[in-house]
Amino acid sequence: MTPEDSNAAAPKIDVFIPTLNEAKHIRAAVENASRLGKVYVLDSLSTDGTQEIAREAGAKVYEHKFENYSRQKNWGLDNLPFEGDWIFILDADERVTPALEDALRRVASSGDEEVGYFVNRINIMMGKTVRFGGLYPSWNLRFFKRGKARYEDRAVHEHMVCDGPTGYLPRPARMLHIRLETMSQYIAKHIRYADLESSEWVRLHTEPERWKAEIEKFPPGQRLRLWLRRRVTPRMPFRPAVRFLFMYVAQLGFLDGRAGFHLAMLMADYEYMITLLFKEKLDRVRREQRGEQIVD
Amino acid sequence: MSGEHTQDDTHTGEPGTSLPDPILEGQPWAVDPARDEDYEPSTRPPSVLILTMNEEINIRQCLETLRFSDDIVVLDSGSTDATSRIVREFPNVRLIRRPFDTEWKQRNFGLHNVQFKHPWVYICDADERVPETLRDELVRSVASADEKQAAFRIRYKNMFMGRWVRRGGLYPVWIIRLVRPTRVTYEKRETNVHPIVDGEVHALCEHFVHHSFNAGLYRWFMKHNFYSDQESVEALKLRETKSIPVGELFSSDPMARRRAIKNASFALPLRALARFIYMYFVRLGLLDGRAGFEYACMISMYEYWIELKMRESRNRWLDRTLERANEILEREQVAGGGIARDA
Repeated sequence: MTPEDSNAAAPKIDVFIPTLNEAKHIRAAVENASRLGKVYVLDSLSTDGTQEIAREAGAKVYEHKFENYSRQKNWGLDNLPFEGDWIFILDADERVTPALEDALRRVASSGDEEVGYFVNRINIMMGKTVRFGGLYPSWNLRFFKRGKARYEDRAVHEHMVCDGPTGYLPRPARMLHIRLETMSQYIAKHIRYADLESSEWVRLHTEPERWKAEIEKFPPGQRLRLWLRRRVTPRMPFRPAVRFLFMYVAQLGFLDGRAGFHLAMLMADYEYMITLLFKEKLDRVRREQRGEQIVD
Repeated sequence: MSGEHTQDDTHTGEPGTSLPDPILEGQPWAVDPARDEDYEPSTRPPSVLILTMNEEINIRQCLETLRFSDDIVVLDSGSTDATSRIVREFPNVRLIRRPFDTEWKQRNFGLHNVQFKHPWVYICDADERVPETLRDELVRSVASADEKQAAFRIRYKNMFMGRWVRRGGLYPVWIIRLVRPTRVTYEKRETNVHPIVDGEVHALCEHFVHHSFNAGLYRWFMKHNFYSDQESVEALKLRETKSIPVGELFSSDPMARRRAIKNASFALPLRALARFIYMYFVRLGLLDGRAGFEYACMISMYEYWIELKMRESRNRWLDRTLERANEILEREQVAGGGIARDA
């Protein structure tokens, strides 16, 4: 067999990168992803020139208005002219390592029954690879046979659903998640999430019917866990401190050195902000329910 | 330490907010000076200057407590909420808009480019209230001030969770709020700007009341994320110059002393923890109940953010993150990765 023959027989991999205003990172991402195969960028109408840079770097670029993450990615899966046998979904701040490339090619040509694979991901943050604190390993279903997977329709924390058996890519295959947001952006994101999360808690506390409906969607075995997480956790004293100790000590965050410390601290801050916002909102709702005028 | 301190709580837009051009409504900054004869003896009020940015929650109650002045200027940074509509309901208020650039420029514009009816200006924030006792003292003070006096400093009561957090709030903090506008200039600094006064500074006995949480905790967190960006820049500048003016730590001026302590504190490790212990135990914030505890925690979180951002830029976290990623990619390449493709 000539090398050409073996190449022709190897399954083709397409890379799918959804973007929004990633001008700073998209060139490196496309160049890195090109090692796997053709790169398709689906841009959510960026205003910083992401499209042009991606095109220059060798990607095929398409645009579609963003609704939410899962819908955007499903739209891409349905409408982009993918040709490969397999598709790998990558974010602009993620990189494929040579070891991951090997593993992907191996499973793609193995003829195994799996139609999708979970890929491990490691964070690089504050100049360090973060191995502990519960942040690693982190499994994401990103590699699948074309047409065999879609995202479930959910606004945030979307998951992929596969039509067939799935597997896990073993070590040392993993992608790198390069966290390039500033601390200011990172904290702002935590503040926004804390705001959303606390509103969710308030709803569960003030609208019991809704809570009942919510919990009945789950099998009885999971209800206790859910009840603990949604009803008891918000009232737990010293939650931020508990969270810090859990991440830093129990999940061995201290082995990551300073980065481990700061990540645990930031998580404690996040929990603390949820607690404060929750109390503030709950108080407001209760006063409104009692028909009190809110005066300062 | 803008945590308990209100110099610019009202108007700092989040960075990147696009603002309209200044709106010149009948050139409202030009006004004829009032004459003493128009007022009963010792009843001539000061003018008032308020800086705003999206203050629909606060501005009405603030203006209600300022009815004693017939000359209030609201200098707005381009609010997109109901602030300007509410302001227009008050006949004694002139609304001026100027896009926000930096705090010291905005404040100096307010003092130097706006004309006032009266020789004295009381500077106020939208989340502050002037009680009647302070109102009387303001009027009395400007009536009896002589030419040597250029400013008055004042203390305030910080309100949190429905009570005055007296001890944890590091009370008393003195700030300059009643000024002769031509003799006061704000220094160039990223945030928490300080006025430089040409003349004597006297003290007022009464307090204003500060409701820094009226706009909600969400806004407080966002603002303090923004302030900590700027404070970390200032702290690093200070560290580069490496000169801590030890003499000022013992200054008789309480404001200079406070700043010197703050500047010196940037040289300390574990500032956030030290700040908590100081506020809660040394200054007895624990006697203010839960409000005192939460307040000390929040300020300490803010101090931690400053510290974190100083580390971020001093240790070049972003650059090193990229370098680290490239190192790993190269190392694996050398170690025999990518065989499948190259073979």
